Amino acid sequence: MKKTFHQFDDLDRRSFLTGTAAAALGVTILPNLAIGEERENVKPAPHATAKNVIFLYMSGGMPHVDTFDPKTPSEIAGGSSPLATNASGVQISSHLPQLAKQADKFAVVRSMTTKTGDHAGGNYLMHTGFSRQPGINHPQMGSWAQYFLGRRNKFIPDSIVIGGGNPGPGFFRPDHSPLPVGDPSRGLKDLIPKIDKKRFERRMKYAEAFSEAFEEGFPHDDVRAYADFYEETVKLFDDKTTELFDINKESAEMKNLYGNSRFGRGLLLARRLVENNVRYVEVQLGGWDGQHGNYNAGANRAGEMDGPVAALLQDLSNRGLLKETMVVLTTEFGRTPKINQRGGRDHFPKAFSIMLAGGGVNGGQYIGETDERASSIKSEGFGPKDLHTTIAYALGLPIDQRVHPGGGRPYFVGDRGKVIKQAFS
Amino acid sequence: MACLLAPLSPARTWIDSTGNPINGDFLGLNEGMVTLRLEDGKTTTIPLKTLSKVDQEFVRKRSFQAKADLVALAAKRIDAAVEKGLKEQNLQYNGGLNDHLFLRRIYLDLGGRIPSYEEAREFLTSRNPNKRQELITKLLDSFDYTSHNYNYFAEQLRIQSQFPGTVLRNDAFIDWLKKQIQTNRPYDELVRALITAEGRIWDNPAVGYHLRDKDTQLDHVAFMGKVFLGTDITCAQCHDDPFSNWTQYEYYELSAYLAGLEHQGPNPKNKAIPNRKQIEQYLVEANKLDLKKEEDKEKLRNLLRQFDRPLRDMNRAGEFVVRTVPNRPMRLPATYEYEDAAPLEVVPPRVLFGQERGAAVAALTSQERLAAWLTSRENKKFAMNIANRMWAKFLGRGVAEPLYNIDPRKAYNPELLRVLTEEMLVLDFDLKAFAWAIVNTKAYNRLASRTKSSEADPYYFQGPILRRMTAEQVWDSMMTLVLGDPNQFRLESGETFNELIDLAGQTSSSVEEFLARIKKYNQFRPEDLLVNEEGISILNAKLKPQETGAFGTNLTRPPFEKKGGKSDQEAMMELMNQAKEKKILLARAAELPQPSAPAHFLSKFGQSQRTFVIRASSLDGSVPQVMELMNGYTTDILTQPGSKIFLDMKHLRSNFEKANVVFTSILSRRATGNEHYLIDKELSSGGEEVFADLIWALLNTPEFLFVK
Repeated sequence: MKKTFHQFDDLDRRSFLTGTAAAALGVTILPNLAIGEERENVKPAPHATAKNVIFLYMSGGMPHVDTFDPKTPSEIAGGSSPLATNASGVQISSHLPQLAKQADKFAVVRSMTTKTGDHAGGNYLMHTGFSRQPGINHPQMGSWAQYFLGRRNKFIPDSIVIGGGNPGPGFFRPDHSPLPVGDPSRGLKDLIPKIDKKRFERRMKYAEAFSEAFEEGFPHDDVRAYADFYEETVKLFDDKTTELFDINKESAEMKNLYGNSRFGRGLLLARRLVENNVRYVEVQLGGWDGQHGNYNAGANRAGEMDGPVAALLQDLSNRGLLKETMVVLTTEFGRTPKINQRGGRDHFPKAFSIMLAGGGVNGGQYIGETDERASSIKSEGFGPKDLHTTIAYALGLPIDQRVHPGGGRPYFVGDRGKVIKQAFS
Repeated sequence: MACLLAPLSPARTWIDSTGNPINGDFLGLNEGMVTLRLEDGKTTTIPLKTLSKVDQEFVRKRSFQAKADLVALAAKRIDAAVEKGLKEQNLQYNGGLNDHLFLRRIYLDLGGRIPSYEEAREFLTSRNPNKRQELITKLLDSFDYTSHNYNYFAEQLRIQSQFPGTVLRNDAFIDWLKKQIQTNRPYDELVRALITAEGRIWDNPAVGYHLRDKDTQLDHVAFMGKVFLGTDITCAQCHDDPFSNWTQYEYYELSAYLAGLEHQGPNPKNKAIPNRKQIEQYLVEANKLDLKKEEDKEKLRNLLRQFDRPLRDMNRAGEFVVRTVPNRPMRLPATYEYEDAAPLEVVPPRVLFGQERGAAVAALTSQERLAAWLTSRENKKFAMNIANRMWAKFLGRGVAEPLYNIDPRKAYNPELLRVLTEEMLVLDFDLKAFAWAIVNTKAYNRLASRTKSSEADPYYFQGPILRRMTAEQVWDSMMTLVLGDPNQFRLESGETFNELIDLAGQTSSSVEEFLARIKKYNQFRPEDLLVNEEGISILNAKLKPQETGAFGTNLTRPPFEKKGGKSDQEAMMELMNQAKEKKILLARAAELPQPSAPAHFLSKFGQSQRTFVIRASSLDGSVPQVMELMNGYTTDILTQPGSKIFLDMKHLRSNFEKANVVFTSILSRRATGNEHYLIDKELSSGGEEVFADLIWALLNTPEFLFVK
């Protein structure tokens, strides 16, 4: 274990170690080894327009009619009506008044389509770009980016999932896992040891002392790598790092801007992390599934989504971060345009909408369209793997490069989808 | 539920001296006495001499103890081959192992876990000059051996608790495989049983092997090549492989042996399953519903909903059968682009190398032919593959690498590879005997090498490679620390679930009976399959109070001693209940859902996701791993005053002895003079807290994670 606690004054350390053999006292600190990568990293392709991605997932199926593809016929509209935005020719639902003021920053893709109409299957597909295949776990985009581009930060994970479970690394090595953060208000608090700091330091001090003989006896790369991971972990518990995850350090004005909802706080944390060099952050907004019997449930969710997402776009833009940060807002599928007998909307994978902004995306436009009943797409359709290929393209990942996990059949990031080129023009 | 842990496959029938039959599974041979497990789960011992000739022959084949002479000879020959290699390179063996290093290593390598405090003390304090050999044979005979080796094969066979994409659980196959390991079925026989398996999983659990790749039959062949032949033909599935010699045509020739294999049967339309109409009728009568009323109709709809899934599952369960469709040919893919054959052309079966045995194959099925060629003694690659893998399992590195694609010409020490292969044949694929030989080699009984040699570097076996414990070894060691006896809860054979879902053989059932079954099915939790000796689920059972060790009574504490109103068992139970609340199952890796969830300890430490066979598991470190050791549940439980280590310390007066308990429990050794000195200094300023901190610290040292 490395000498992690430089804050111990030397005397304290020395007095603790006086019992060990004389040789142990003079032990040199091992050089800091980079975390071994199995492959050589590639440079982002020259066409790369995005450095970071904030992936907003509307879990449960976001109704396109109530959000980004409003229609007028009364049996379809529900409570939603088209609302003009600050981008000429682009209308979105009246449930999204705040986003309407930011429409110059985002593009809406209205010709999304998929064949997967169940939540679990759709969720998996939208998170990986791959259909569920029995017995295999595909990685999410943050893990792909880390695989190709390498680890960006030594002490903070490159991808973080806020309120979205623990997706794991897919078929990559364990260190490619996104770090799950449950409650954005608590940040890393739930990961930090539940003992007081003094005691934690004491424990680390013991562990270091009892590791020394072994580390000396085995000057082995694998042993050193563990020492590195301990250092990394302890740094993660460090005040400086926990601060990066602590939205309470944001100004009252900022907190107000994002609002007090869990989703809003998640977005604020996402912005804070991206600002601090984290590459990929996902934030989920759940509860989109409660609308089988009541279309208003969808409208309520749209209201929850509207303010915080608008705040995020505005804030990123003000900080000059929107240029390099792609914001993706997506969902597993749409909702039936026609209101059902129970007055709600059912699953509808055939046509739905997503939103893209920043990281090279040209705002103020819509891409593709549905017919006047919002029930089928009228132009070139795009699926989840096209979205993933588009994100990978924006990040400059090699979308044509085969990856053979476990020496088996090849996989491509984005599963050889097509780039939604219109988004960038 | 029927009898617990009952075997699904019938036990062997033995004939004793009086000519009476006895049904039981072979468990082992010790000093001329054969141990059998009878069908009721009890064990019995019978003198070998009194059994029939056929039985005696069977025992000799299964019993590693009966091969002691051959094993000793094998170890000697292996030593000579290793030493020749060392001499050529001007290298020497590493230093030897003291008792505590030997103890820890042999427990991990044969039993898959560290020794418990009691086990460590028993060994370390014993003055028996033969204690190492006795420990080896004890471990080879233990449940720990079965558990550890199950993990090893489960990774290669990519076993998952639930068949991907189906409702079918895999417990029967898991249980069957464990039993093959426990009864030491020769490896060639085992592989033949897998490849030739046909039928339903509840009748012939071995079909689990083929069912695993139900929808990916061509991949199945590539996996077979890597796992059983150390030969990688993967690339040739889609194109001729320029880096090795396999053509796409050859891939299809080999696959042609399995072309007739079908993983699904027709829906048996079981009469014991009432149809929806009958269920509806019953529900209407039982609930006195009036279907003219709108609200009663709605009620009926809601009542019926809970039957949808079970009805579908039970109807489908009968379809999962591995069978042969005769004369179904293998055809080339439509995309075939080489000139030696046309797309969609029929490909006759042909082996990858060597040849099938002439006329003898005529009477065999296609799978039997494949299995016969694959496992034949003439097919040196088969014996070489498993010999090389076994060597790698104990020494950390194969003689030829990578394990899944070995080329004997590129072995570090070709002579050693040859000897290992020959000894595998001499020992008749008895893997216990082979393991016994390896752990008796000089190379194995040396310290691990101090520095890393990468896979590309040649290695000559001065001793084993320094290895981090596998995910399963770390977890099972944690379970040993938490429970003392980590084998308290075991996965039952799958009967419970099978009885619920499989209605074959039942011809009729009243709707009432059927609804009761459905209710049980809906309440089924996989955790219920983890049961203790009495058959009680881990969710309801009490944990066994700590066993007292086999030592002088003055040092062991009485198991139920009350202190402050709380007995030891109560204190432990409190901790165990916390585990239940957190849905953490305190059982060995081999008994848990496989693969583990991404957030589980085992996944974080790199357990295979059971998807691939190459680099499927990982020994690399990561931050989540470190967090698990720092703040995870198991660390938390071990640092609390009710934990086993604290209970083990409770009766000891001196801090010196207490510190030794902590060190022996976690690192299998006593503390050194310097370490005692440090601890004393700390204790002078702190109380019991210091011991909790000490436990935490030792779990977070490389000495805990690495096998040196």
